Amino acid sequence: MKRNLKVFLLLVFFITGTSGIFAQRTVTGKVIDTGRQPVADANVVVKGTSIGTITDADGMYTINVPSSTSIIVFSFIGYVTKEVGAGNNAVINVTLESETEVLGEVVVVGYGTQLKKELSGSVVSVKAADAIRSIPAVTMDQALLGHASGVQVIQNAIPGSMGTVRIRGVSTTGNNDPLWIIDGVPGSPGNLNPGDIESIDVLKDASAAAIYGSRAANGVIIVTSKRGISGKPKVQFDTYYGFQHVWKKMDMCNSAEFATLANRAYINSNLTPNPAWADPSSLPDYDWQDAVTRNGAIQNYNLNISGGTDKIRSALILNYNSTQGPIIVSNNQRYSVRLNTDYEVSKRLKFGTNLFFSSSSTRGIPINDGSTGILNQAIQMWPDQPVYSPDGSYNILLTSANGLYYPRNFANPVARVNLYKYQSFGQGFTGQFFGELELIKGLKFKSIIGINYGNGNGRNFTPFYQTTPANILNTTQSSLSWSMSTGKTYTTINTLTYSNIFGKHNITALVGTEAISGDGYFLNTSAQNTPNNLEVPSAAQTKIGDGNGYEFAYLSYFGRVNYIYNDKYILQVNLRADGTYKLDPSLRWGYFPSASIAWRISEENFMKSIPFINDLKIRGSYGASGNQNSIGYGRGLESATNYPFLSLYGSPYGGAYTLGTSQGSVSTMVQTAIATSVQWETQKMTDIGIDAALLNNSIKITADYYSKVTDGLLLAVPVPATFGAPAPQSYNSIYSGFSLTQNAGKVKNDGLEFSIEYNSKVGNFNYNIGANITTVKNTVISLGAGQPIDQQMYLTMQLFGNTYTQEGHSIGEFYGYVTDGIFQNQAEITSSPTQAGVVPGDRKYKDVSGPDGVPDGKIDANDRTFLGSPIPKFFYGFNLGASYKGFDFSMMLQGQYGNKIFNELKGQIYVLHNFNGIGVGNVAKEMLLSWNGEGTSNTLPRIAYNPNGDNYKGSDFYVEDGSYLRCRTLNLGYTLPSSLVNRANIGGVRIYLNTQNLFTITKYSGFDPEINNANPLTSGVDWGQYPVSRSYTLGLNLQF
Amino acid sequence: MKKYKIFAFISIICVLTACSESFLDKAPMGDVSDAAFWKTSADLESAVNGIYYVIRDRDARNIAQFWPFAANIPLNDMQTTSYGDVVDMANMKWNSTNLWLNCIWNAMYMGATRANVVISRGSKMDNIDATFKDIKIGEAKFLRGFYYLMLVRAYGDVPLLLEEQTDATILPTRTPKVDVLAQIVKDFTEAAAVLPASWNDANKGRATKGTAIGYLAIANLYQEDWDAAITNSEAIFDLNQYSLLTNQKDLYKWGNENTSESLFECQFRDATTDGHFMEYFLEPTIATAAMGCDPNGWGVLYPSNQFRAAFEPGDKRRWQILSKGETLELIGGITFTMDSTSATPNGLACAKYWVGRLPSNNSPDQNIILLKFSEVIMNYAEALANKSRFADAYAQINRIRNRSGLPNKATINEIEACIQDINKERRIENFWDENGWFDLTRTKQAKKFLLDTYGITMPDQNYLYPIPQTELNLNPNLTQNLGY
Repeated sequence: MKRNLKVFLLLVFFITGTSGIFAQRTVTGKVIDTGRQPVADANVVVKGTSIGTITDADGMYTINVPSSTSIIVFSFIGYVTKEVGAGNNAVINVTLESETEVLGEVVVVGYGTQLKKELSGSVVSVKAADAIRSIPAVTMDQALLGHASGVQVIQNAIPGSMGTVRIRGVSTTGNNDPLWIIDGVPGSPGNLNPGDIESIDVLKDASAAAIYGSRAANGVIIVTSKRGISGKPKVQFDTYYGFQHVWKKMDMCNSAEFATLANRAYINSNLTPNPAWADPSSLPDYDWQDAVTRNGAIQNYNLNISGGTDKIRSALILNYNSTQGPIIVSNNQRYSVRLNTDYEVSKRLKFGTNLFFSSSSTRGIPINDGSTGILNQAIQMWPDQPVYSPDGSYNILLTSANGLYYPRNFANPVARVNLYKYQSFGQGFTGQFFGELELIKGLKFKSIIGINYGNGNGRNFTPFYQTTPANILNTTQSSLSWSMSTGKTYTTINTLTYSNIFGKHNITALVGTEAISGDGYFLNTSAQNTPNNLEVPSAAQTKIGDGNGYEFAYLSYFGRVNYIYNDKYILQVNLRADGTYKLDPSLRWGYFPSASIAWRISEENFMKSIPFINDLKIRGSYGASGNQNSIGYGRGLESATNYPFLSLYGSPYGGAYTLGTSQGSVSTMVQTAIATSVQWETQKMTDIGIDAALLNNSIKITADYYSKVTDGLLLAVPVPATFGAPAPQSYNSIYSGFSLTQNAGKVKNDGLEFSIEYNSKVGNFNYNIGANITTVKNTVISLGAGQPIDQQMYLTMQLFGNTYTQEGHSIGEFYGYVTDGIFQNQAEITSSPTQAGVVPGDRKYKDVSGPDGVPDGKIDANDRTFLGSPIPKFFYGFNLGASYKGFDFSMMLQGQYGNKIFNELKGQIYVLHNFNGIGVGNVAKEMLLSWNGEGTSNTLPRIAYNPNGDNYKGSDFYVEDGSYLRCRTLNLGYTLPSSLVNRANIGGVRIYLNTQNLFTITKYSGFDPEINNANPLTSGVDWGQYPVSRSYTLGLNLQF
Repeated sequence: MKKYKIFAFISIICVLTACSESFLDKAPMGDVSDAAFWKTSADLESAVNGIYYVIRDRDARNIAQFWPFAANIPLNDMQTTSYGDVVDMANMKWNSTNLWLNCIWNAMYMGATRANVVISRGSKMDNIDATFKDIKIGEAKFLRGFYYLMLVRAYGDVPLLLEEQTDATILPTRTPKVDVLAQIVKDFTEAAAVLPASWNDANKGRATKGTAIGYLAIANLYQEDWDAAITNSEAIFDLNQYSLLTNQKDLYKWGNENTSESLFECQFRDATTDGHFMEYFLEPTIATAAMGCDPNGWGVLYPSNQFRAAFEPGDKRRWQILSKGETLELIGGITFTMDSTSATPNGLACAKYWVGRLPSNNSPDQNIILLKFSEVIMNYAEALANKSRFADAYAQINRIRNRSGLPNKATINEIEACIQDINKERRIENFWDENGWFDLTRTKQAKKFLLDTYGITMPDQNYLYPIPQTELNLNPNLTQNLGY
């Protein structure tokens, strides 16, 4: 009623005003922001009256002012309201300051927001404007990379795939993935469009993260999507197009070199060399690396339409992305739609929705597999063989009659990658519905309902095809597998927040509940022998179906109190109680408290006299969080073994007991060990930090010391056979022993984080410099029974190396022999520790230890030792930005130092003979320097067709320095002058050129030092993974 | 506005309190858990079958096929040159890391644990036929007793675990042998009370009343409760289910399974999925090639010369071993003759497990006999002898002798001699079966036998197996047997 009256009165005034009954003065002017951009739709009202108007698209307004004593009020959402006396001015131009500028930056924390200056925990923010829009990020991890201290991002080069994100180190041998909160609801970042994102806030310490309790131990990443802004619709169109390619080639032998080495290998083994290679210099040369790599096209189109009134606002974002991998055939397409809407029913009641749909399709290739990876095989192809036969068909590679020369298990990789279809399709819908009601002043109730649906389909098809004459690979019959999975998650979050200021006391208190439940299913059909090589499962001769399902539920209660006294002293206390379906009912509730304090020293009077310090805060926090994702980790997500307290039943390995005349009577047994006392891994974290702003806020510094101790690490602890229950699943396991998942281990991570930003300008030249560095020291303190976790690595089915996770060392350290040169002659063999079957030219190993811990004069498994850690000593990022008039420039350098990589590829290209069978494959050019007589080499053993296998044991020969420094992005943009674009009725045009991974400085000899391997036990093992590529893109940002 | 407030407060109270604990109760959908299991009689039956399965579990290296090693190799009547751990077993060089001595431990606890699960959870099933349930629980109790009897006779004091294991009870201590035996007797007694005297064809192979009482009598012998052993042995006779076959050889002939002489057999049916390797161990290598069959025999086991010499003239059980020139009848009139090409180190071979069939025809799925009526008779004799009823004891010995064409043995009214005569008969009758060594250790004759027959000095500690080293490493509460 009141509103209607207002509108009526307003109308009356307008009518009366314009009809000139009162002699009034007209004031005009322009409203701009501090960035000198016009502010459209700002309210301009004469105070105490109903006279008002709004600004137009250029920020211009005209208003009638009753008298010179009138006060004009300018207001707009997100800006600080400004009042200006009318005086006798005819023109009043106003600059509105954004609330951020006045109040300080706002960061999103668990179940709310806080002012950055009032934070007592450790939070790092990445804003869309800084990072996301300026570079072509395809997945969310790319938006984070290098920007945030304490956050390590390892790129994943497989098109459309997320990289690995680690916050403050690796704290468990289980799941180390951080918790992602998307618009307030736990979710998966995998299919998000970075173009949808307004900000990313990373909660790093116990104080900030622990409000998420049992899921917070790996840190929390809060993603906030873009919302509509009131005003007339703004249209923003962003696109880029470019190419990516593998930035490094392995330096392999050409045909002449390869044939020379091959001939030597056969002669050294008293075998007849291949007659086809008799004259090495006459052989043609083909480049198989070129044949499987390409310039893959990348394109992205993003349309953002945003607008509304102050009561209803909406943002619509459409995205299409297509990425062709730098390895042939591999690609990914994704499109997504987002609609975020806000409804303001009244000042006290608000509703909103976030709706997001995405769909993707991916064509994969065999990769990440030491023996059959396409790139791995391509580099080992015989360089004298062409990819295609003269008639244009795929070259069916030679297999000699006696199988001595060409490996039988190598197929033409170009044929394989084209003919074998590995396709996956995914669709996901995320919907969030929320309402907020202010009950009394300062007391707000908020409710969010989140729904998440996902579907995944896989379609793999291997046609019958001869890629080798002998049909050795599984191409003798066609096979296909189609799979279908679906999952849904429902989340309900209710919070009650009270916030008020009583004099010098500023209090914010929060209580809430969160309930998450969901389920999923998958079905799989595999079929063999389809007629005419058709991808038709129903027509296949053999068909097998399989399926599975799961359910889950989490229930939580949480609370937080934030108290600030006199703007100087900050205290925050959090408590969360979490219940999970994964644990025994008597143990399923866990309690995770944390607290933090901060002191804003700069607000003290004695500091006010120091002019160059604008802000200075020291803070400390301590608290507990948990990691329930590790329960059942590694046994399939949400699988049955997520219930360690439940007995599960299944058939004994090997079949059923025979009774009577039947072949077998159904037999069942307890299949899994019952670990009733399994609980969360609990992490206790300490953080001491300092935030400072200096020299008129041009320098911002944040430094933190952190220490987190994960206790109750879930490990498979060996138990005596008297325990009886866990049925061993392999023939030998009764001897290798039983194990039971228990909270037995303890791991510590500690380190320092430091980041600095400097902003300045000289005339029209603005520039900023930022740098961040994080150190990590990872130590396994305890492993329960004390036995190291031995992770075996296989190369073409042979045990090739190990990682050991042992007390006193870091997680996943490489473990193997120490090389000691090459035996030059028999005398050296005789005088060295005993190595079975060696001849001059074979590799020599160090006698590190015997069974009693002292060298025993012979080389055996006791001589294996620790060869280095995959965890870097520190990682860092360095940002440089500058703008001058229309030009802008940004660059990010990023890297890590002090980690080691186990280069499995070297196990393939530094041995001529195919490990797993017969024939030879191409090798690295460096192999030309192999030992070939006394004194010729002390690093590469002699070449032979049937060499001493011990030459290729897992050793420090394969362990390399993984440090690198890379130019992650380099960006050059130009914004067209508005005078030019306005004529075309366009708001703004920016074009830019971007290159990613332009250069990389590393000693690592493999394709790329970024090893994306989520398993902490093998995190530094390069199986021959999809290499990170270099890309060049041309981008366009348009604003209407 | 007031309405909003009221509404909001109500909803807050609802959402903060409404979620009940049951919200978190989920069960795996892709696996059978307690939530879905223990509902029907078929569930119970399959769980019981799972306990039986341990007898021949492949993970336990076909434990039933291993038992002849455990029960014969230490006797030295069967010789081997292969398998270092087996040779150590024969030479009495026993240690706690010998895999062949260890694997009984592992397998028996696997079986006992499965039985515990069935007994504790199956007993609580209340919606199935009560009689059926009692019988199934009876089978589980029999099997638990059986697995513990196997443990006790090998290791002496062992941890006695009767409840389903949880991670709170991982490190048990050893229970005195007498207490374990008391529990075994209890289990066998309760099983015998409910198990049927025989099973129909569809259930042949399950434990019967006779099976339970047969092992109960053995447990009584370990308890030295001779009266009970006598009573229980006679109870088996009274069942009228069991008799000696006319020819001892027929018990082992291919195709003769679950005969009237057999109280308990490890069941095999389909060689391709769950067959055993017994035949491969026993056939001489060359022999199979000479027969035109796959030369699959490994010829790694062969009877000793001393064992050949132990047969009295005219003993029909001499068929069990073949020496040069001797012929074994195979299937369909085909015979096999040991010749110089089928040589084992001493030219002897064991004929068991391939008599009556073509050797190595790729289906070694003959049942392995675990307890037979002739053993019941001799156990009865052992109990009688200990009660000084020597004439009765010799009557039983002579039942066995007469069947195989040997004359009566004259009664000797002296315990030591009588026991030795019983064991002599056992040695021939039970060759490469499942109990030999343990009969000899129980009757304290092992040391004398090895010294007299093979000149091997048996260390005293070898009356018991060593506790597996892996167990000692993992469980500080366990102690090793004396002497190891």
